[in-house]
Amino acid sequence: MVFSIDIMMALIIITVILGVSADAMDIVGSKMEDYSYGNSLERIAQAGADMLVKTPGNPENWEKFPDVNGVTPGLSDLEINKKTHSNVISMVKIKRLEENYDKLINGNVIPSHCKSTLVIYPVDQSLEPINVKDIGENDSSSEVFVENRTVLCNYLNTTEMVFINARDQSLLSSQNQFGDECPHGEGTGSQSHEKVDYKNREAGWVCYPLRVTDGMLNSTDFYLITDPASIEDPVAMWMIDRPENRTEYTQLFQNKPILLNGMIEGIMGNNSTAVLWLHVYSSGNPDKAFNTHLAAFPKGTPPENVKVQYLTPQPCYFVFKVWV
Amino acid sequence: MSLASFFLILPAFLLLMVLVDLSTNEAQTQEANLNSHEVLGVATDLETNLPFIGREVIRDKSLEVVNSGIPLSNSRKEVKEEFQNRMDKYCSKYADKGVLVECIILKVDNSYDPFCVEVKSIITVEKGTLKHNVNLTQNISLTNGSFPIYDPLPFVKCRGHGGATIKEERISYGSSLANYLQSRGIKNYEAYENATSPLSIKKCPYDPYILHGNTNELVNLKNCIDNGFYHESNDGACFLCRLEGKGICSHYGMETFIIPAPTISPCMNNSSTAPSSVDHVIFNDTGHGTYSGHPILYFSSENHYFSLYLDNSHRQKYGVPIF
Repeated sequence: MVFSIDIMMALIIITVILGVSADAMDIVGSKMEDYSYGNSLERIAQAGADMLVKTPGNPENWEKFPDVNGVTPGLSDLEINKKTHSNVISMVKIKRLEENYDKLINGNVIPSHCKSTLVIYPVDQSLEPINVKDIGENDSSSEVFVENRTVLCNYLNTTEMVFINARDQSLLSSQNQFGDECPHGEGTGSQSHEKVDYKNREAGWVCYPLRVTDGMLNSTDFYLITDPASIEDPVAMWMIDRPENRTEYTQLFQNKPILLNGMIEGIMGNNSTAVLWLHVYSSGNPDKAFNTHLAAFPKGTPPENVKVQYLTPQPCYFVFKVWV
Repeated sequence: MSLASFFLILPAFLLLMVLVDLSTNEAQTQEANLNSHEVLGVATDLETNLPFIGREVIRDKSLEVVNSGIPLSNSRKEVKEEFQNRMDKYCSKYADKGVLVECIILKVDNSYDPFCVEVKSIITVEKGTLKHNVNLTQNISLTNGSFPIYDPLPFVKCRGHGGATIKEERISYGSSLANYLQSRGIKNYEAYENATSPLSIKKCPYDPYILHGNTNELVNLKNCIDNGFYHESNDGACFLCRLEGKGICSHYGMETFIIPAPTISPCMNNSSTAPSSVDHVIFNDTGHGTYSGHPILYFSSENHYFSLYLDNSHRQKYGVPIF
């Protein structure tokens, strides 16, 4: 009998040893994988991009601080995200990060020995990419990890001062409160601003106030934009005035954004703060209803960039490269 | 021999076990990853919806007081309890998806902005072995939203004196406000016969407030009154205290104008006085809180003269000439 009890016992012991060793190897292997992953560039790049895109940073309003020492950066736009909860990043924070990139990123977002670049490309190719940090790659580095995320960004840092949502309003079956009580007063007088009534197709006005200060006038360009840009309503017109100095001077829409700074400056006169009123007249025909925006764009925005779509955050590619 | 065969199979068996163990581990990791996304998604969903549900609770509590005239005994507690009930209902809909969601409303209180109410809450989302906790502090706006929120205070104060009614989106007092002031022994209460005041809370754009008295014609003041705007005020009651029927409180609050009915002749001479037309002055029933003001004519049309009474400190606040 070649197959003796001894051989059998030996086989059992060898098998058990083999099994235990395999299991131990498995454990060690997975631990090593964890360890290497923990230190890998891929993880660093992923975590860094997550941190920048998904968090507002610490403190949350760090972009307003003159000194960025002790700040952990994050680009999430707190105000917009509170309302909509999508990945919207703040243009003001991007600009602050651009000014202090190395100080804020190295050691806070990625380890100090790593190098990185960050570029934000708007999907709309008519807009310029933002090179938050762009340096030539080191040819000697064997590995470069790139994290590409799609985020939303208020690219032109615009603010909507007044939004007259006539298209939605015209679809409502009941006439809701639309516009505020205008200083021109209601009633039947020729100078009064009777409200537009889409339900009964009666022409009229929609009026809203806006508060403008000297500082805003110096740092922003105010534009009047309609949506759609070309209006079918033949009687549509608008005017801006203030209760202290009411006017009857109406103007027609021009099927393109209208720069209002000169007019607003004239209306404000020597006052440092004034409450102005935007009045928009329309026919009350729901089929020809149009939306009106009075928006503040940063001073010097090229006219070709003054578009309705830029009043809402724009989709952008957030490209974060990390290498050693 | 059979025993020998069994021992020979043993290594294969052990290898199989290791393989099964590996694949189970991998499946578990993947499941944990998916669960983690779901848990985070639910937490975000809850975080987004919390202010909307909170605003509905505030609207309903306010309507309850407006309709009954009975103030809440402890608005912070009652709003919090109702909010908790609604959140419990909202959270229970996730149970079908196998996600355990709990939202605890810790506190409902004043915000730094009197036109907001602050809510502190903890959201706990649990699925399998994963548990996610978020502590939240959110502001619920009283002014910005798809529906207006009514000021409950006048309805509480005028209950038992004839009651205030809603007419053309304003509060119409009829004789109730005059009766209320008379019951407190206030002089010249007749001035508030058929008075009106704003119904829903809207923030005044004429800020700084001295803009109200910008011109001799007081057009800004008139427009503010026509729109029924509310102003920030140290003395005025905050919204939560208004729900409790308090005309004043220690919190940073708000104030609005209560407008006497227009007169058909400019009979009011400047030396006549009546309670100052600011709601926290008229509704301050703690001692001598209701003080007088002199009339200001802010608008006239045909045979109607629109005036309100303002004391000097409020005239200063709104930039109106001091008497």
